[in-house]
Amino acid sequence: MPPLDELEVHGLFSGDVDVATLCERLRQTGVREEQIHVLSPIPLSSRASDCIGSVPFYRITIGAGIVGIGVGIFFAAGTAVMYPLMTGGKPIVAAPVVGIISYETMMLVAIVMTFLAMLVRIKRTNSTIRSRDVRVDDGRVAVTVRVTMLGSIAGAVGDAMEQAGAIEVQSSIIPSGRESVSPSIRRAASLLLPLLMAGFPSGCSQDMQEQPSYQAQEVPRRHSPPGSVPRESRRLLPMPVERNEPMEEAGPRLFHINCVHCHGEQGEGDGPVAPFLKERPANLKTEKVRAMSVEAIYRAVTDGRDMMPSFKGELSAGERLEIARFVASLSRPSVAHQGGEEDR
Amino acid sequence: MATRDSVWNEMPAINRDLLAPLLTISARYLALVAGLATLVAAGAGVWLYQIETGIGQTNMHPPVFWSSYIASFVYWIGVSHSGTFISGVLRLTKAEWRRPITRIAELMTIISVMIAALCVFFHLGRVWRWYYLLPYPNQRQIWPDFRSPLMWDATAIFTYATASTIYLYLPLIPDFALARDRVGGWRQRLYALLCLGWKGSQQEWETLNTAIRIVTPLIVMVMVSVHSIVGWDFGMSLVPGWHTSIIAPYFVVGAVHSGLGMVAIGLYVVRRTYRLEGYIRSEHFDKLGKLLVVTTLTLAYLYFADQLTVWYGKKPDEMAILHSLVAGPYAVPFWTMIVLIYVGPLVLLTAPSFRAWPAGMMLMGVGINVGMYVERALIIVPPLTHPRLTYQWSDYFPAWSELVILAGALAMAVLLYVLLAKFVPLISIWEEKEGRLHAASR
Repeated sequence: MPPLDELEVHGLFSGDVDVATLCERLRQTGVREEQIHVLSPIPLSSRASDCIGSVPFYRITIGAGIVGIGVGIFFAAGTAVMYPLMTGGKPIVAAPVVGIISYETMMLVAIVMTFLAMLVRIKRTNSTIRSRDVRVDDGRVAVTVRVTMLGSIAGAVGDAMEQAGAIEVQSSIIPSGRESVSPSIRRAASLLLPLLMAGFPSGCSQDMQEQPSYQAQEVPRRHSPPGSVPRESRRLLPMPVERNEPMEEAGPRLFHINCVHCHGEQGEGDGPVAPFLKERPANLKTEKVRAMSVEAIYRAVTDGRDMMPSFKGELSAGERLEIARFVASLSRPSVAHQGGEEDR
Repeated sequence: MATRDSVWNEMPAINRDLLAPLLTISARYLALVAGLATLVAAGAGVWLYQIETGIGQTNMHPPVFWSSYIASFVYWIGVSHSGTFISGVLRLTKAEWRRPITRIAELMTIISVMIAALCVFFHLGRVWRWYYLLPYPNQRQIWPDFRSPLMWDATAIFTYATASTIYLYLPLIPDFALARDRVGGWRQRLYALLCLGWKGSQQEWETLNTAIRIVTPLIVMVMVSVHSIVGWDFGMSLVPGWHTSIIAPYFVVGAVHSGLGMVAIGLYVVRRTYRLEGYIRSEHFDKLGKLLVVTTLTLAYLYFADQLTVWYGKKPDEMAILHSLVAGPYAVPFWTMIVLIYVGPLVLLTAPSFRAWPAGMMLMGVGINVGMYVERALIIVPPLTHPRLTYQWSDYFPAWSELVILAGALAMAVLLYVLLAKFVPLISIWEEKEGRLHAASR
């Protein structure tokens, strides 16, 4: 059976109408409480204890506040763990900081969610009322009652309104199934879409691509730049390297300049920077390093390893080799004098 | 004494009076908008010039790394406390006299938060890279350090700006509905969108009142935290003159002081321009004056406690700053500030006849705001020009480019207000009606 048409009875009253008595009369005609809407230019009571469904409004605020605290903890504590950086002698996760950020995010989420809950609630309430009387804002009170056409009590409702002193009573038919939610969806979309679009540009920049450099998928260059060497040559030790100073001095000197701040004076991975690093630098006296050939150590110095950066740019091939030999000598004192040729 | 009946009957007149500013545009209004827009354009032009040629255009130099832009930021954030304080605290305490003032003050809040944020951008070098400051997973593998007070500040101001926009919007919904039915043209569609299809049923009122009552105490708490954190931007550093635990409450009270002064100016201008003497009465100026006496005394007390501690301790680093203020190169602005924000308000606002004089209250507001602006500059500049090592001692006065940009920012604040006055009813219409009905019922 198709849904029945409905009838909206609309009464206009002067501002000082006794709303409680009027509603009582309307209920006597058989109208349910939720069918009556009293429209006024100001709130007629100062009641403010609204519920959404069976959930009191303030619980939404409290729940959102708790979520907000979680957001604050994630940003202030969670990301600090992911990006550990020592500054000013403060711990990586500092309680006062987490407290301050969580306070702000708690307030933010609580206020925004309260606002959104109110939006939904207001939209839901007023979508059941068909028309708004412009005269209400001029100091009138309007009462609308929505009843079904079948076995209608509309006449009784109209009479009750007139007895209560209505200035005007009108009824209008609301055809069933005509009301669509699409205007409200369209409105919501027209609000949300610009917001979403405003968020996009912030994540768009890819800095490397803005450089005047060769791009991915670009046609290969015809010629290598002057001074370039074949890729594979990196693996080869540049032998023989001319030594300007005796090995006993060059290796330790370069090691002292380039390596000790992480690996420590003795190469035991306890340099002054070590406590601030995410991963501990390698102890160069362990079995693992002893097992490495000079070439392997040379490769590590050249290309970097785990957290350790490449030293290609900082040091010449000869200098890297001297360092590799010195590092090897730390765990194997004999290597220093042999020159490492047999390791190749 | 109005009866309830007469209040209901005067509602059409209230609608007419309070919607009138939205419906008329005079030649003087257009001239004002044009003048302000010219100033804004001048400021924007100089800002572009500063972006093009670099932050070296300012007179900032080592060791003065913070200066007029940051002073303006602190000042505008302070002014933004007008709305939240007047509206929030007075709504919480159910002060009836708040009704014609809240909207005027809340609009100031939104606009001055925007201007304050703009001042941070003036201060940024390579400002087109501003998004580096946002926490988002990025290709550079860097992340903001939340242990920096500047990050607390960014978080707090984002919260404050969002919350105060919501707070302005909530009581506007019924007024937008009213305007939808009575203002035609392009604005009607916008009002229809913004009023959420408001019908005025009791359920809607109840929902709105619930939301307002929940949000109000929260926004007051956010307000206190925001200026505290702005204070901590300074207080957390070890710079002599900044490193004091009293700085957070001192900043909050100072902010309310300048905010109230700004509201006095706004009230006077709105009342005079739109002939709203029946709504903004001398009683409102009187109450505002009393509040200003409270903030004057509180601010003076905090400032005295702070400077007394410095003076008695006689630490050379801090004494150098105090000397430079009281009898040194900053003596003229310092004593001007003392007169404008402490002595003047205390002497004049304790006289009831002065408080009831709207033009006088407006001038007092101007004086307090000039004084508070100088005060912000004096918090920032002297400690930086007097670092611990005396060979670095230096001096600072804003460059012409800084002055033009900041004048443009001020013009933009006024311009936004003037433009919004044609879109938003400057007095909350339904709250005014409700207030009159309450008064008649008593």
